[in-house]
Amino acid sequence: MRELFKIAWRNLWRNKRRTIITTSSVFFATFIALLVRAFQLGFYNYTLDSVIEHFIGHIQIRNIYYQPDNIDNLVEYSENIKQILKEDKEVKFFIARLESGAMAMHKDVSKACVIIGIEPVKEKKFSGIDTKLAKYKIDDSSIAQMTFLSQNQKNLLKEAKGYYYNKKTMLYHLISLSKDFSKYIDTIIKYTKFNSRYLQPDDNEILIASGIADFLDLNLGDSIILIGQGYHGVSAMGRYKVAGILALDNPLMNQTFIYMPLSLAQSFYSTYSFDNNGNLRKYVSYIAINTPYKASIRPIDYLAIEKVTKKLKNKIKETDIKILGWQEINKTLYQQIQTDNISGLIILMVIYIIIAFGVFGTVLMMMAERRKEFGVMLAIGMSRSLLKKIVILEIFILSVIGIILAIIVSYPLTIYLHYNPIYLGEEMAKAYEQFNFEPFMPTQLPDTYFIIQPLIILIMMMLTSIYPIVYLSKLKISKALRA
Amino acid sequence: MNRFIFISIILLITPFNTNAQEVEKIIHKAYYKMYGQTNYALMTMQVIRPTWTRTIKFRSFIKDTSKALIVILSPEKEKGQAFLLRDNKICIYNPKINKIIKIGQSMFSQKWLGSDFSNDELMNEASMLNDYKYKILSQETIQGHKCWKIELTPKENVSVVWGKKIIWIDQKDYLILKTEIYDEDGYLVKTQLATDLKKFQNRLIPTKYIIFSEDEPENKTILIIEDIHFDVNIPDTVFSIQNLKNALNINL
Repeated sequence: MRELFKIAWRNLWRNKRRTIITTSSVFFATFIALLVRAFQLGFYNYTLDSVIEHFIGHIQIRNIYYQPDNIDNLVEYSENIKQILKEDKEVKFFIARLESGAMAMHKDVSKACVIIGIEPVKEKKFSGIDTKLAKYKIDDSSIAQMTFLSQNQKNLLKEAKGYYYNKKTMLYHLISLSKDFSKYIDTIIKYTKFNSRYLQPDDNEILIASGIADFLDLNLGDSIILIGQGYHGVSAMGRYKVAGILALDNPLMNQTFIYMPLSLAQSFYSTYSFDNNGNLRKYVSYIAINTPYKASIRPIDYLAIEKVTKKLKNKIKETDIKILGWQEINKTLYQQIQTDNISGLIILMVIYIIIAFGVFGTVLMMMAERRKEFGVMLAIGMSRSLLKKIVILEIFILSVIGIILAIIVSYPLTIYLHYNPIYLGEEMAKAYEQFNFEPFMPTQLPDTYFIIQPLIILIMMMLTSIYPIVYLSKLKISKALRA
Repeated sequence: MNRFIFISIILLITPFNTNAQEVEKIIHKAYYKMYGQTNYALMTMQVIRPTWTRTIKFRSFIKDTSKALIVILSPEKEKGQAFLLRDNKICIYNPKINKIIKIGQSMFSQKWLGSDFSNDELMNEASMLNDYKYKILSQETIQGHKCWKIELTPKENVSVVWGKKIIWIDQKDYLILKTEIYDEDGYLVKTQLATDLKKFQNRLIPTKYIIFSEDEPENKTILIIEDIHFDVNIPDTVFSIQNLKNALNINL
């Protein structure tokens, strides 16, 4: 075997150009396949991460008649359920929310919005909503203070006036105006501080998305009037102060979301009742639960989550609730990802086939070029099977070199692109906004697909070696020598 | 023979072909029978849902087909909330936020306080006098009362939230015993039945109204007139926006 390997290795480097061409085609095939898959999986995971992992949760407990736009069918956030969830080791985290629509008014302008009652301390850990607080805002006075900027730059900066930012979004917006701003970003931030405050559990104040703040012309400390319909037909009205403004990534949410502490939302919507013993029962829209497993498109991960769902169903005996896994809660998202995944795999298949034929072409050429050589080898007594083995080994070595090179190059690249996702630029961002996608393209960190994709390519490569085998079996020495 | 057919057709049509003026008279008579020139009333509303019910008590004042005021007495959480219809606008006052909110005609079909009644049905019944064209469809007997079945279609250039209404008016006492409300696409949205005839100041009126929507048949709302006084002098100041904040303390 060592001997064979040596011969194959030397054969390869006898014709360097041919070897390099074939290797590089394998290299690009693997590189592109890995990168395409990394972006595909990255997009799914990014979506699932922001939507499921950090907003909807793996599992939800709801009323049997729950409807997203109806506040009449709620679930009791009872000590009993809390206790069961706390004791369960497979419940990593759980939070309760109360969601419903309302009309927000300020002066004489009004806007439909979605109110979300949250448990402020837990929500921080769950959805990290505190990181979305607008910490910066550019206005005329802050631009005037920035003496280090040229007049031209100041004019550019005026285009970013009035927007609310966290550090990341500010950086992206400013860079899209002019690359120069990246140098000054830390200084600009100092001049544009905006004091949004996060909620306390017993707060009487609320957080509003920046879209609402712009529309209703609201500022910190202003009071906003909310009107809606509460639990079982009670009318819900209240006047609240704005504690903070949120710069949410999702455009639709950024136009409509208002956050308030759960207890405040419960009193706003009157979602409580007294039972026969005079005990106060408090209700929420749903209880969201995260397990130690992952929300991903892999069936294994979901099976694990489904198991926890079943276990909870057995433990929680209340009759008016249902417990759902995320694929049932957000069917459309799941189906979208599924179909997208299939079309993505088809694209990959096309890439594989194109590359396989390219490599097949080089193999074909190689065999034609080396016809005489093979003839001589056979004539001086080399066995056909040995010759076949050598050729197969050559193709194998070629492919492995190409694949390993591709992995070496794409491994750090995917990791880099995961932590520094490609920002699609202001133009694309607007197109994405219409579909409510966030304008980033992150990659998936290398995992099993870094084994599966190269393996598929290796198999395709080995399939092309069928031709040399057939060719060598049929090769007539007399004819080959005359070539 | 031809003449016979002709005459019999004429005979068949005539009972329904009451001329337009007469229908208008019926409608007017029915309206004034129910509401008078002015009235003030004490009412209870029960919102009935499969899993819960809710009772709201309120006073209502109606004057001259154009002004109406409703003040909530209970539940405690909503006490003092007042609704005023004036100049085709509804003003809502809420003591909790101490603010008056105006809503336009486009919102009149919105549910009132989570019940199956809309703002329109509770406060703007007089619109049936001015905003519709009438046509008698047939005669039917409802709850043992012989009724005209009358179709109301909105006049052109009038902003009405419904596609049409069909009402049944008792021929003897001019009582509106049943109302069907259709949306703009001609689908039946909800049905209102009036029962429990009682006399108030020698005026016989139905005192219990049941309304249920077509797409959620388990959901219904019952409105009961506890007490009603007709043709009392209600000063115009009662229907002023300034008075909304004081609506709980109106004494007549």
